[in-house]
Amino acid sequence: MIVMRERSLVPGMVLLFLAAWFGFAVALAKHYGLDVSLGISTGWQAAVAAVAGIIGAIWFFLSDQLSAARLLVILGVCCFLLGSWYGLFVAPPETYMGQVQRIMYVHVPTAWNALLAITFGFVAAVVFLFRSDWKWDARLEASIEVGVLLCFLLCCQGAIWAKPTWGVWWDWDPRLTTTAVLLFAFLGILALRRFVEDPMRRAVWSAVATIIAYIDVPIVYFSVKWWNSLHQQQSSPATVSSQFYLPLRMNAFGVLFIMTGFIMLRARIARERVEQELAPPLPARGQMQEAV
Amino acid sequence: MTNGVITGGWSYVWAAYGVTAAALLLYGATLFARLRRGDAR
Amino acid sequence: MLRKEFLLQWRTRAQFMAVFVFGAASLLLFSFAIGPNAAALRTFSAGFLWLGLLLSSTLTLSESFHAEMENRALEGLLLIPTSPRAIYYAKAVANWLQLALLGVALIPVMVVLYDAAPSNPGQLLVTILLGSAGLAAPGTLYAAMTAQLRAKQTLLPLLFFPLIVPALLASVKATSLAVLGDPMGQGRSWITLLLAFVAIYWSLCGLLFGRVVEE
Repeated sequence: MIVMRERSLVPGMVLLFLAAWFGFAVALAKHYGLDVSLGISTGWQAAVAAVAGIIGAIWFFLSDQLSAARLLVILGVCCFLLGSWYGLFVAPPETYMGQVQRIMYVHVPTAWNALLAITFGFVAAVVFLFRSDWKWDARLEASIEVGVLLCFLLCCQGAIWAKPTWGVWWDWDPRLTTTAVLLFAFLGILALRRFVEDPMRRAVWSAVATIIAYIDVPIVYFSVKWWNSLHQQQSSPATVSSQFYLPLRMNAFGVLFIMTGFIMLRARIARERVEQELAPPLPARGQMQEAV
Repeated sequence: MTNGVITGGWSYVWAAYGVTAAALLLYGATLFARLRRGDAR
Repeated sequence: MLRKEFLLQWRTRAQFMAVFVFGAASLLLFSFAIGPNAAALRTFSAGFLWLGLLLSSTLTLSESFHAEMENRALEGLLLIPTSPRAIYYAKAVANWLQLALLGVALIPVMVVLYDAAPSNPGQLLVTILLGSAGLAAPGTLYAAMTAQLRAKQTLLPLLFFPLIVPALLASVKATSLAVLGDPMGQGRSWITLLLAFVAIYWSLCGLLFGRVVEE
């Protein structure tokens, strides 16, 4: 049971700093000739950065504070701007794909985070079914909406990447096709939420639907992969070589922090709406200072 | 896999980054607007 | 419980006829979409069959809870000391059999319209049985949900269609191989995929049905 006291953001900030340091500060410094790695190997640096970044984001997330959400979004935007600047202007073009390779620096982070958002929706759905806590219903609604946004972006980026590479807007790549199916499945769940008026029923039904849809994701992926493999050779984008990790990593953190911040903000909106539905607002009600 | 090198393609790169940035910005703006409306009530 | 479902189905067999006509009509419409190109029609016959079946399923599935909704019998059903799971499985089996029957009934239509006589009728039959089972499981769950909503006509397909993509893919592939020939014996693997889908969703939806109908 998470107790809703005023949780300090300091540990989260320390974690995020660690993540930023080992995630890209070290590599960036190396690019300009400085060595600030403290003797830690690159593999471990990446691991520490990833773990610290995710735990830091979760720490901020569970604090449920508006300031934390805003901080995350601002931090995310900074990382994204930095990563995009590096990916667009500093990183060299790739041998075969040329400049089009740069799309990967925004496409791969979006992919990771879309999956993360949907997975978090699944977690929220399961937790809600066990605890019947409105907070988790709000988080479910938020993560599905942000997940849908990211899936939509993924399809757009994928199509924009496919056109110069394969000459067609859509090439039935298993990952992208699964994303499209995912997009429709979760759009349906959002529509379901819109049409059910009773808050409890809406919460339970969308949780059930989310669980069903999420379990479907790997099944859809494997069936499409199989279905597609009979027609064309695997057309996945070239894996990013280690030289190009830096902009990828920066953007990954950027989108992660933006996404987490957005989910927090959206969850707060959802929470406020449910509170309104369950009890009409009294006049001169105090500011919603209590935790989301 | 394509045989030759893909030349140019900057327009696609800008399109991809642009769509992403625009969508995130727009969504963020709606979030902040809804929150502000909620606080004002 | 199952007997009650079958009794209901038998009483509404006119309904079944209507859905069959709808299915056959959609198969006809698909051929107009392609044009009188015998080779193309034959190649895509499997896809058309399953699309027709899928569209018809939205009709049968929403009907399956119609009786309960009409007389608010759903609450009455829940008062009987049977678990909601039993209700679910009874309805799902009834839906499954109805869809399977529909599929089988549409085979001659497919054969005639698309010149698509199956070279492996056994495999075709198994595919129809498994594919309709794959449609019935999540379909029954979502039919129960949407039956209680205003926008039931739009929401049922909206929720249901993305979900059954793997079942659709596998069914079409297996049917296509059964009709056009299967030199490399791939049909078995597609049927295995169908089996896995059916196993997962019949258990999952049964598990969750209780939460869907609780008050």
